[in-house]
Amino acid sequence: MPESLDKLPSPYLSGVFDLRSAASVELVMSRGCANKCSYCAINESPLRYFSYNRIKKELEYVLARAPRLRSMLVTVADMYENDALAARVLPLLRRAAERRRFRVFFYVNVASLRKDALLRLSDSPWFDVEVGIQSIRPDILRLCRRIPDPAVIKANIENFKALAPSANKALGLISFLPGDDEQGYFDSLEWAISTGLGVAVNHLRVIPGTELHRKCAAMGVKVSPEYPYFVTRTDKLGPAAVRRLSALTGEVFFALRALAADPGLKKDFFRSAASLKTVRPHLFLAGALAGWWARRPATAPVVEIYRRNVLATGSLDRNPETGSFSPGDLRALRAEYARFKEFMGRRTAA
Amino acid sequence: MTNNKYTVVAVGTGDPGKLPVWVGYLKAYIEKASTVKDRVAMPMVFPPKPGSFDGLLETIKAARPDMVTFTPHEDWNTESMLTLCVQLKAWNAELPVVICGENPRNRMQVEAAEKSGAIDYLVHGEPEKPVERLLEYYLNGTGDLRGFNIMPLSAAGKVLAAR
Repeated sequence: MPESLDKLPSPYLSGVFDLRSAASVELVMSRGCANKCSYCAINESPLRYFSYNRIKKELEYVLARAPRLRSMLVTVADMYENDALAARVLPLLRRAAERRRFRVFFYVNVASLRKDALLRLSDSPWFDVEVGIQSIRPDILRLCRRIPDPAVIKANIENFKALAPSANKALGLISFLPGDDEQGYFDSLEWAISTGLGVAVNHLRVIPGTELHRKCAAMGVKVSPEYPYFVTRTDKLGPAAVRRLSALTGEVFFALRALAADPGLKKDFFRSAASLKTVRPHLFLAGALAGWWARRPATAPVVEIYRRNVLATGSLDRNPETGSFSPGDLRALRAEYARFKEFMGRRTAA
Repeated sequence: MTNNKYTVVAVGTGDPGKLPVWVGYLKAYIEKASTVKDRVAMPMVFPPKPGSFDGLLETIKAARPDMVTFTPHEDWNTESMLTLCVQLKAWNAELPVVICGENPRNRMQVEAAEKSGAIDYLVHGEPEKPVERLLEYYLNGTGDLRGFNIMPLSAAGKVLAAR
């Protein structure tokens, strides 16, 4: 590839796209990655950035020609990696998003969440920021070549919450990593949900050419022969367990999406979970609630539509905040939530 | 060739609901900055139904391609992409079919692409330079594919790569 990314002509500035009806666009800020995560292929190329001027020109071009713009994905391995560039790009994006009222989505690395000045620049309700966590088990993180320190991860997330309170934050996990077992996966998921932030779970894919691809057979990991090559068994989890945990995660995510759509329900859910004495209260409560909604005639169709959508995409929505329900769906979910609480209350009393 | 230019039809697929920006990068590079920029046109075509390549055959044929590029994507049906590749080869066995990832994570296994019998080249990694090199090959009849992460799969592709 050319050494300077600016030598790559811009598809926008070259007039490749007609943006008149575009509601969502992708702005590429960098290529490659400086990290060496074993499951990823982006790091095959060295990390390179487009210049600030090029990014600004593209943004201005898009804003002038896309009157229906509602969301923008800024493609960058870690928005906070390049301090100088991020310090100029974040205010640029923020001004544009707040003025034109479109959402801006980007990824960050959890290790970068000590860059306080950049976190403060991200404090906008128009920003959707996904933090790559993957797991909170040190041995799993070490195998993936990620920061193997859950204490640092948790402290960095708290720092992010404190310095960018109005940004919409989501934590990204990966299910079925080599070495991860049911307990480890549940612990990661429970912690992620307990933060109150959005949660995304990506079923591990084995991308040809990656370190994981080269080593997966020796690690006891099996992969679907069909693209996009989801893991079907691991050294710790057989095929039935992978299917069961996938289904369970899907149910939990339905509950999270519904709760995210109603701040009152969400608040009540976290208050209720805090009072439970079980090992993983948030996971338990979300699972029980999803099961209740799935069994009740008024809400079962809503759950069924969601299940079909998950099956169609093969992956879980990256952010529960983006889930949408009709007013009728929400009324039914609220009514059944109240009945669920009554039921749980009676059961606890008994 | 159309208008004396070598026509590479690029199938524009990307994240659902978004413009296929990575295919756009490939098109912009090939047409504006590559060593073959004045000799190649790269029209983009779009599947009529998101998630599937069904119904695209006639659109590609109408563009009179000298080469076709596809990109796999987790939200698009790969089986329908491979079916379309087979249909294209049945229409014109000489038509080079290239699969190149829109970005590094979207890539096919070599075995799966080879099994289809309808793919000439598989490109892993950033596609601009490899596709430029392939086009130099087709236009000049000479060059070196080594070092560009280009995997020739078909008999025709292997013959060309060995030349």
